[in-house]
Amino acid sequence: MPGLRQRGVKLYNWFEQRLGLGAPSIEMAEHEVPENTSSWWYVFGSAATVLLMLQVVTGILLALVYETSASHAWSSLQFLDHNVKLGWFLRAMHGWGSDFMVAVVLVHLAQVFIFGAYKFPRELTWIIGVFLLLMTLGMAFTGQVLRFDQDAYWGLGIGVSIVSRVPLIGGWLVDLMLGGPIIAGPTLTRFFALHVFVIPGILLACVGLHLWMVLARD
Amino acid sequence: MDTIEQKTHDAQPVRSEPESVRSAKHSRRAFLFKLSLLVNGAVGAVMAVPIIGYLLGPAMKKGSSYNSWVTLGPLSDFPEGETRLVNYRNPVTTSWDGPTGDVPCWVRRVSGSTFQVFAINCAHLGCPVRWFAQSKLFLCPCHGGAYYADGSRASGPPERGLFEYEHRVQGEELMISAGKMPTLANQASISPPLTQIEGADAAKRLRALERPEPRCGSCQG
Repeated sequence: MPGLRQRGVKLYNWFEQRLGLGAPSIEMAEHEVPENTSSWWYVFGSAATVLLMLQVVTGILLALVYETSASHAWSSLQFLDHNVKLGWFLRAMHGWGSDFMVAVVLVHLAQVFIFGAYKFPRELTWIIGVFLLLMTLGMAFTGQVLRFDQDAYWGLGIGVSIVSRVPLIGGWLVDLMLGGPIIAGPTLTRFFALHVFVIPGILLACVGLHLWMVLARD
Repeated sequence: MDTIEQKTHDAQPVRSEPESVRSAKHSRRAFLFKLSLLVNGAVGAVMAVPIIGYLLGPAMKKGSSYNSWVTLGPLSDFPEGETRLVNYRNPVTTSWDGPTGDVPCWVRRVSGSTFQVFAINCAHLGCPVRWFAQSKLFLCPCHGGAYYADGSRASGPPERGLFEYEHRVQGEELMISAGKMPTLANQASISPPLTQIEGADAAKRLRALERPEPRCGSCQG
């Protein structure tokens, strides 16, 4: 159907004239790389990005059911596991995806280090990458808190005990972390905000910068 | 722009700038731009006060203001010479706290009206310690912290004894002052370690430890 195809091209051109994103995207995708870099060793950065996308999608799907309250968080996850169609599967994907993401980001870091790919002119890419690792770990910790089961509760106790050892401002940091005098409702809502808004926002912005620098340098 | 930049970076006095550049720096546009920066900055500062105040709210409250006296039950619940686990509802809670508003603690009735009430949290990393009546030790499941019956440190990574609640007997009830999770930040009395390997007085310290006096590393005051 030449008519439909023509109309499709016309629509694409209408958007492309105004957005101007298509041409550079195609250029990026077609960009040639040296033959010796077409190796599986370079897959871990892309793998981490794919995992991140999966985490975003499964995380949003979990948020459709999850209840952010200390008294109901755990039972809402039981409901998700047993009463929501394929809920158990999405929850498992998000949980395993988290483990895999930490592992793949660490492998990516090791590969870049061993290959010496952190050197000039890629130092800033490396530095932001280290922050991305820290944020991945932050996502893993805040995410397991949201289950609000025994693991989460005593895990928070460990976090609080570590923070309480900070000289001078330790007590102040403990209160800031718990949002109240004990591990309870306000603690969970704080960690929810961190896990769903604060850390992912910074993480995605840094991934954008990280990728931009990778593409700009190659 | 390049020529202007070079000019201003030159060591020559500013007077040598062309008239147009000098006047551009003092134009109405430049003035209004600076003024708008100032106004925006002021608005930002005014907005920051409630935002930061809101965020830091829980940390700005004085720790002792959370504490109040709660009952752990009648004295008859606690046989002399025994250590029992008791749950109390934290005096500061929200209605959506659920079971997390219930806090466990260990009550030791030494004799008569002499009690010790220990926090469940290990002084190392806050894990729940458990009382083993046969061995007369509190043991922590996380990293092997161990405490004697009186709460003083026996071994393991904790650098002090168990945290203790202030308590009193009122009528026939045992009351404790509770409300805030005990951590090193709010109960930071660190007792000397049991064994000091380095130092000249190691032997003296060890001998002192062997004295049969009751040791209470965590007793306050």
